[in-house]
Amino acid sequence: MMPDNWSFVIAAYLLAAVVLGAYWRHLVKKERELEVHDRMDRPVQNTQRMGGSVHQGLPGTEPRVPGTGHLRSEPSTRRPLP
Amino acid sequence: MTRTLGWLVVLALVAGLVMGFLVAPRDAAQGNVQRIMYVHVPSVLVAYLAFAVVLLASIVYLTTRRESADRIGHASAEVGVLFTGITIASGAIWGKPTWGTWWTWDARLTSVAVLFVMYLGYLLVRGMVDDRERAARYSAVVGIVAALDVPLVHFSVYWWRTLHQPPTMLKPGPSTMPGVFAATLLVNLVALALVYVFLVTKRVALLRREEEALA
Repeated sequence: MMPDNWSFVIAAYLLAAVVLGAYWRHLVKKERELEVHDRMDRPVQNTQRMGGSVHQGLPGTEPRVPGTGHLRSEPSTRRPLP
Repeated sequence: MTRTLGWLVVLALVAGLVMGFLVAPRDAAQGNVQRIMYVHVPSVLVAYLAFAVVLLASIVYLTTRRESADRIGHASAEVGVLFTGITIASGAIWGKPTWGTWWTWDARLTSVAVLFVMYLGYLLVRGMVDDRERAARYSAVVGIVAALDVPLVHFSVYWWRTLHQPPTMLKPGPSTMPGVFAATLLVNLVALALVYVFLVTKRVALLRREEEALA
């Protein structure tokens, strides 16, 4: 009769759980990223639907509604680099 | 629908664990380490299922150019690679206490390793080709060629002298396994097959959304 080798049994089950769990987390992360992307795109689509102009940006970049890009500081508050 | 399927998966996995650890008795020859079989065997059978779906989806894609077939093939290959990885790793963990080695280059183990690498290749082809249509076409060809290795894996234990035992399931003739072991194996197979369906359904939906976002 062989010894029980419980550590091997637990290792095999844990490994399966970790692999499947990691893939599941990867899918959930992808889903969240797509939701964020959809939310960012919605104002662009709404503006286009209402006939408003959409800044097309550089070739290969996403179109942006004015004011929806990164926040920019006021020119008067900017200081030259030392 | 996905939520219901998700709960069904959780229930099936719990049932599989209960059967594997509480209902199925300790094996007379191998002791408790034999319980690894309830992960190892269903994993490889689900991997076979995944690659059969890749084969069908690849044929449908090449003949009809339906993008939905390509998405199913892509998702199924990803999940199939996961299950093949689990099969190889759990087999190595089982092999150490029973055979005295983690790995040996016998026909069954080598053919499974080749299967794993081939489907990794399928996924690499998808990632390496920028044009979506070309990537789908090339990977569909790889998906068909790689499927030829599945019967090789399964019958390798009959065709060559191997350290690996003959198949536990999917073999001709009546089952030689006691009822409670077979039932436990079946419950775990259903559980992992549901995990496969759940993950593929979710991945296919995400692939569709990714394509819409890029369009």
